[in-house]
Amino acid sequence: MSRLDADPPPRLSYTTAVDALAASVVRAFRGADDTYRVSDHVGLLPDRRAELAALRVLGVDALAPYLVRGRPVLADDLAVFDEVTTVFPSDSTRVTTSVVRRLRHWFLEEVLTDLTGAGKGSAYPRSADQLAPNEGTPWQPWSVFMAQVSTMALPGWVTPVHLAASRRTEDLARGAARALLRGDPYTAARLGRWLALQPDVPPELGLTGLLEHVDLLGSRDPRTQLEVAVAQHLLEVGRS
Amino acid sequence: MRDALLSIGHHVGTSALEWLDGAAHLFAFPPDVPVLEVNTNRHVKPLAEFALAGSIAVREGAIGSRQAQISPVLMDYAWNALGNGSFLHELQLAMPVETYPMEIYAMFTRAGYRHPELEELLAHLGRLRAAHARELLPNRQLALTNSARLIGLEAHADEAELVGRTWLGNASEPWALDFATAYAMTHTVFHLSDWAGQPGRLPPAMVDYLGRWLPVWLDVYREAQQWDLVGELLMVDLCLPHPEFPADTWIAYATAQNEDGLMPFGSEAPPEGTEDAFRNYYHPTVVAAVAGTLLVSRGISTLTGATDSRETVGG
Repeated sequence: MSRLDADPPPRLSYTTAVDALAASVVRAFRGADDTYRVSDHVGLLPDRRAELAALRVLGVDALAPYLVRGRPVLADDLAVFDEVTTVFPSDSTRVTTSVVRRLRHWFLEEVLTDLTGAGKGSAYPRSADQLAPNEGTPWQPWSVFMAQVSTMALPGWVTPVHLAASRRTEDLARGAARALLRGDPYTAARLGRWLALQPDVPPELGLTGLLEHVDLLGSRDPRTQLEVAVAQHLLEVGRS
Repeated sequence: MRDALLSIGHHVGTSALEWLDGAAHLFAFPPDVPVLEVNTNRHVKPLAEFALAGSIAVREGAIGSRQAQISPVLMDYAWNALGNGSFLHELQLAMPVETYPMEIYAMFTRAGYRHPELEELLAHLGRLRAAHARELLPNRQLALTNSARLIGLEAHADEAELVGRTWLGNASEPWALDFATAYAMTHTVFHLSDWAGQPGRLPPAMVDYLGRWLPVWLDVYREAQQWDLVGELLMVDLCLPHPEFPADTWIAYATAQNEDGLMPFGSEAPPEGTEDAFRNYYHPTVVAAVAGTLLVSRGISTLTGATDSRETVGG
């Protein structure tokens, strides 16, 4: 048997690693795991590259238990991200890189800088400002964009994206309802996470019920569950 | 844009009415069917919807010379097919709890047709306890209260209580919707507002709710090419005190219509020929006739800035 036959294609092992990491984050949020550490997620699988890829894909979401639940972050956890960015460097300087990738990368750097206590990070990317959907964008494409940057839906941040979310709560709600009716619970969950940060969600959307619903629909998808877990935690914190 | 919309409404409505005119012979059920063997869905429903399209066109007046010409002819034809109302009278005598005779008759009263014996019978039936205990869904019961209002009969139900039991009146989660519920929702609006005749009758909370969520349903069902439902949702917009007139959806809807005026139900192409298409496509075409008619009449009042008297009626 050749090596080619024995190894699963990288995409498959990456997906497995991403799902495993997402499931860990979900456990950290739902109280089933009080010992969540980012650094524990590297060196478990035979394919270290896949584990690093998973951290690259989830980005800030892998750090969410520290950011939202206030768990102490250790030097090891941050060091892992140095390895991630070395193996998978940012492509933000390329013209073809999408605004979603630019923003996600910028936000990861901001969060890492914040966690190390090194003060303010780099400025909000000008290119993102120009390329991101603006106020005049219809609610459908705008809400899809917001879903794609749901990793930024965390409390305490004031960026153009966060300001747009708070100005267009009704459009977030429309986008979430649209996603569910189109059979896309993942997008609905991601918009639910943005909505969990807003004080003026239209009550008839039934955000609590919507999150429960997408949680059940996405019970086999750890990435949907991650979005729901963060959103439900934010709602709980907001209520107390 | 408004001018273009008016011309879309005119085209959609007139060509649909023309298709109905050409298919009129298919709507009339065979005269030799005994009253007790009448099948409501097969024999009565098509003619009822035919009369609905005609009656709204008559009510909205001369929105176009061709429409003004066709619609009274259609109504006359349908009234004749019903023995100038005596068939409805016989049907109602034979089936005292059947609601269709009253609902169909109400459409004719909208266009000025009357049948005193039927009205006497309906008034009598309305005094029975059975009239207060109908085994019907709340949105269907709203059809009866609206019919009673049009005819001038006493309503037999508390409309606000009925509204509170509908999916829409409950401000249900807008994503907890399926095809059948979407139709129930549109009919709650149609009956409450008498098919855009009295937008002021819609409770303000319902108007707010629809303003927020109607764009979502229009988007989703347009993408799914469910033209019959899209037509009904566009009509819901026209029943609001201040319609949005969503231009993109109107253009898509008009584009889906066949050249001969027939409106497809969904993405599947209708069969060639009026006879073959009739059974499955008369309904979406009736919807197109009503939607197009209302787009023109409500569009004109918005375009000209005329005070739309209907905004305050009953509100």
